[in-house]
Amino acid sequence: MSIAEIQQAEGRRTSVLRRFLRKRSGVAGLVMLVVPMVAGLCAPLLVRLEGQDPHTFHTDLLDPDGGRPLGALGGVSAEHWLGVAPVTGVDLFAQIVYGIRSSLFIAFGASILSIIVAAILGTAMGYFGGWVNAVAGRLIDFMFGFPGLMFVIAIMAIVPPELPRGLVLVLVLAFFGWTVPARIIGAQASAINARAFVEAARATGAPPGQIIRREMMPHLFGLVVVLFAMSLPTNVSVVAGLSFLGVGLRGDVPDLGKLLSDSLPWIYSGADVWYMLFPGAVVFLIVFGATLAGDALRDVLDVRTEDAA
Amino acid sequence: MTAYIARRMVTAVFMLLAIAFVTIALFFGASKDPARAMCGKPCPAETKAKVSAYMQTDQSVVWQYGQFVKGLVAGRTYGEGAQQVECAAPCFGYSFPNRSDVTSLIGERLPVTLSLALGAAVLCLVVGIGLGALSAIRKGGMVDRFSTGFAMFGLSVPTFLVGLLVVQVFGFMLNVLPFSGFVPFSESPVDWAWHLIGPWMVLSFILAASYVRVTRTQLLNELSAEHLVAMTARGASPRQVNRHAVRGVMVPISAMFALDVTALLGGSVIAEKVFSLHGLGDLLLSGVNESDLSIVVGVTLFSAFLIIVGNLVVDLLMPLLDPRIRRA
Repeated sequence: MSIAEIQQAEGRRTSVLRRFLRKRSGVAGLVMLVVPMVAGLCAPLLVRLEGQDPHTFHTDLLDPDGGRPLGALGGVSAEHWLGVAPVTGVDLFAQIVYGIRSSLFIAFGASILSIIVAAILGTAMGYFGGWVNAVAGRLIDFMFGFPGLMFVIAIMAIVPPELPRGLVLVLVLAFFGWTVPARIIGAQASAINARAFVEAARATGAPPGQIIRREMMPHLFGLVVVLFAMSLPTNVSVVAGLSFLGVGLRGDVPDLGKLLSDSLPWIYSGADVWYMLFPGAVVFLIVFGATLAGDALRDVLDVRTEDAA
Repeated sequence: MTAYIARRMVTAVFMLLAIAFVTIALFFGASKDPARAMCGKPCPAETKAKVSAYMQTDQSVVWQYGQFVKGLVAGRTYGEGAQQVECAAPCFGYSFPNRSDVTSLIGERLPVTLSLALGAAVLCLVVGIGLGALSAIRKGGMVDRFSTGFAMFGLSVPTFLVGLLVVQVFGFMLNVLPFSGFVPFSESPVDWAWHLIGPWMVLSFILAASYVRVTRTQLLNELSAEHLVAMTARGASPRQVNRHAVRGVMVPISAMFALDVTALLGGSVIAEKVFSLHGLGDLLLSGVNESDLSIVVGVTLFSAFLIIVGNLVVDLLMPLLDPRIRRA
């Protein structure tokens, strides 16, 4: 790369950032996503600051008749920032920040894995075309025949209990997540592959690796980033949804979807609405924030994702 | 045209067979032994072997696959003598813990899922196309801004959150809607609809979002298309122009709609859970929780079957709606 090219590339990168920062919805989304993310990352620290832990029962803070938390807003106080859970009286703030941790960890893992697979396969589909494209295209068609969420739920029935469920979730979600991105990347890659500069590189005798790395990948980078940003909120809500259905994480690992699922009887009876509202708001912030940020990023990078899917 | 139809149908059948094979190989080849749950505790090896042979889970995956396909077409028999059970075609497997074939279990749940899916589909179509069209006609206006926000919300917010909020607001705070239970249509159509309004609202809100977006973009594209500009220039009334524009919008919308309906018919697990409806999704969950693999496999394949049929319908309908596809 010549110095002029490097300067040009860097010039573009700062302008992408600047253009993103000019989008109010994108910045708002990023904040909505990053605040819970940082809270999740610093969970042990925040919980120590609060002076609680996610597993200690505080039955003294509950109404002995029925087990709902005493006090306003589900027992919010200086000791328990977001109140306590009904029945057990565990600290809700600690449960939520640790819950963010596990939910985001799985969602990030699944998104990263599926987009890596999609990027490799899509680039190969575009570059090699022909039978590679045909076989991969058929495979994607085949994957579309599976009833997505139903199949994921079904698979959770046969997961051996000794496997770590978080890892299984990452793999299962990635397994179903790569298809649409791969098709979009494949279409884009084959369009790039047909362009004159790739032809020129080929004419100079550049090896395939170099053409893919130097000529095609820079043009696919934006698309890959956007597809990642778009898959993240989906995976966050699927992870939470699976826990909500009782087939996600097991045991006493704090988890946002599990909290929401536990809150169901308490909103049916209206006894403790806050048990649902606090974790629900956090899930909403993450998912909505990531969607807004992804949308803004798509506009800024000027990537089209509607075709081909 | 006939060749096209024949090719699509053959592809669909092969897809189904392949998906069934992968599913059966995955579930009945897994380390989890379906006989274990049935044989009770304690479970001596001898009894377990007997149970396993009775349930036909001791055979190879390929054999079980063959039996499953045979069962779908011609029915299937388990055990012999006094213990013999028949599973009539189309047999989606036999649930031993429930002493019932999976097909009738699915049949019991289907009215619930069907009611849920059809109502939500109609509502979502009306709201989605209506909002999308209004915002395309008055681009940048109040409706447009509202529906863009609406679509953004619907596309990103998880179903269970919307469901929980609807239960909370309409079921508890305003106390106007029932938030669980199902009344069969044949018993009382009014009660049937009344009990389903909540889940319909939730599902159609989630689904309508993409219809708003697609209708809006498609209609804007159509309205600025050259042939319609030319029409306007020649003095055609806006009504006539709109009529032509609608046709271009209908094609992608009908494709989306067919696929969404089949996906909904295959079970909307989360909405069913929030509103305690005992539909197909609930059946799948109970199968998962009780480790009843026959139910799990049966329901999953039934959903896959619907999806593939839905795709087939779309492939066959599209050429009728769009002459450009017919010629290709």
